[in-house]
Amino acid sequence: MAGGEAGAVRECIDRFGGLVWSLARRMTYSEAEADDAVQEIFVEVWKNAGRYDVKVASETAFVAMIARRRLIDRRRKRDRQIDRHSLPETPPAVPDAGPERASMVEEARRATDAIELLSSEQQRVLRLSIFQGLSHEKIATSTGLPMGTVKTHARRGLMKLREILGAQGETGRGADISNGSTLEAKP
Amino acid sequence: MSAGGEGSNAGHSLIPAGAAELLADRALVGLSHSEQQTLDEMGLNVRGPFGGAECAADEYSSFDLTAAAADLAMFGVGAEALPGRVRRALDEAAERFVSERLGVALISLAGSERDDRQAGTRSRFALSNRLGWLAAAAGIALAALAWLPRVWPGVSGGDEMGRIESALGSARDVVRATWGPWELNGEGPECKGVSGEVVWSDSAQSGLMKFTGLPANADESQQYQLWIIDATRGMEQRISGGVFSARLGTTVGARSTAGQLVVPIHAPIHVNKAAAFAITIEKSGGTWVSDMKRRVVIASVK
Repeated sequence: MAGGEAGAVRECIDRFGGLVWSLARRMTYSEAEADDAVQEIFVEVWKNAGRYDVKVASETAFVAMIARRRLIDRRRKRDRQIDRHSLPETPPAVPDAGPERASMVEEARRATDAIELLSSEQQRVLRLSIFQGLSHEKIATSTGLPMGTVKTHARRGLMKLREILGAQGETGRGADISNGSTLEAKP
Repeated sequence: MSAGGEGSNAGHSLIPAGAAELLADRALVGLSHSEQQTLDEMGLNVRGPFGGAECAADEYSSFDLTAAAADLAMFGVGAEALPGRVRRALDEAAERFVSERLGVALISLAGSERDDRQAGTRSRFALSNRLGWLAAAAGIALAALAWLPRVWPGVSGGDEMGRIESALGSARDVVRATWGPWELNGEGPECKGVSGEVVWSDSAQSGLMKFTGLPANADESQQYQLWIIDATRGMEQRISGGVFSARLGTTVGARSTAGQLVVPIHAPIHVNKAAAFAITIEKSGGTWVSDMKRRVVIASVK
């Protein structure tokens, strides 16, 4: 697809449209902004498709990573541009329950297991942070935790997750490739 | 995602002490300008989503991948369908993207000399009329993030070929490698009697393949695929150099002259040091994982 193959480009939308749209909806401030963000994200995915490596991540995680990166950048830029007082001080309700385990790609299943190994406070802060890319400041306001504590929980929580997932090695990486996927692995 | 640890305790991690916290912040909430500068001063090139141009999903972006995996675990892959307006906008964006990549015209290799004479010139097709064919040729089952093997871009066959020949003409590291039968484990190639050469320049990242005696595709369901073996990556990480057809397919920039098929090479990723080029027969659109059972020719760079 890196070469711009039409069928692949469209199928990429078919496969990951829901994922990208959901991420954009919750990490932007308006539908109009989400519309724009989705286009930006897909173009970014198409352009960078050649960099995908099945040994590193599943395709779903790869797309989610690009989407999150772009959305976080947009959010920071937006926060700088608009009146901060007009932004909600507290995040909207974050879903308590995760998705059905059966519906997860393997990588997410492993992440679910890894998250269980974090402290409850680390889990709480990470959920708030990951859900919308909220700043430490807003999470501190929302939770009543000191800002330093929020930072520590977020950083250590993510680093711990990374360490656990990394330690699990290659097993399961790119597992959604075989799940009826049309996306094939980079040699 | 890459294994790693926390900052300087990361064992084999390449991440400098002090950078891990910033990388975690970057993956979760983004960085301020000054924080980004701090990372830059640490020698980490992490401005892009992949941590820089030369590192795909490496040690640094593993923080981003971890956050993405946690996101999927916590909130799922998204059950909402794309709104119609967004889908339409994306389809338009997709068409623009493909157009930019493929250029404005394609040349039919079905045009043998006889066909060329009948047509009076090479057959040309507006991209808009070829998208349907491309989708079919790609075979939806072939997508891939690195995904689909490259279909050569270019404005037109002549322009593209001229550009490549010009690049090769001015490059000082041009190598020529002769095609030979590709035997593996005592088994010969599927096509015999194919000859020709590869002309390639690492510095120009361009090259040409010349074939004589390469059989026309048996049908539209299969195509030839180029594999580039980079000395710095090895055979296991061979690079798909794209697909092409010798007859029924359509390959941008290729030409057929006096019985010799000439096909341009555009490596989809940087080839550090080309060691060999090999051709297999694959399903139409190519594959990203070849079992190398249907081998044709191979050319080793001396």
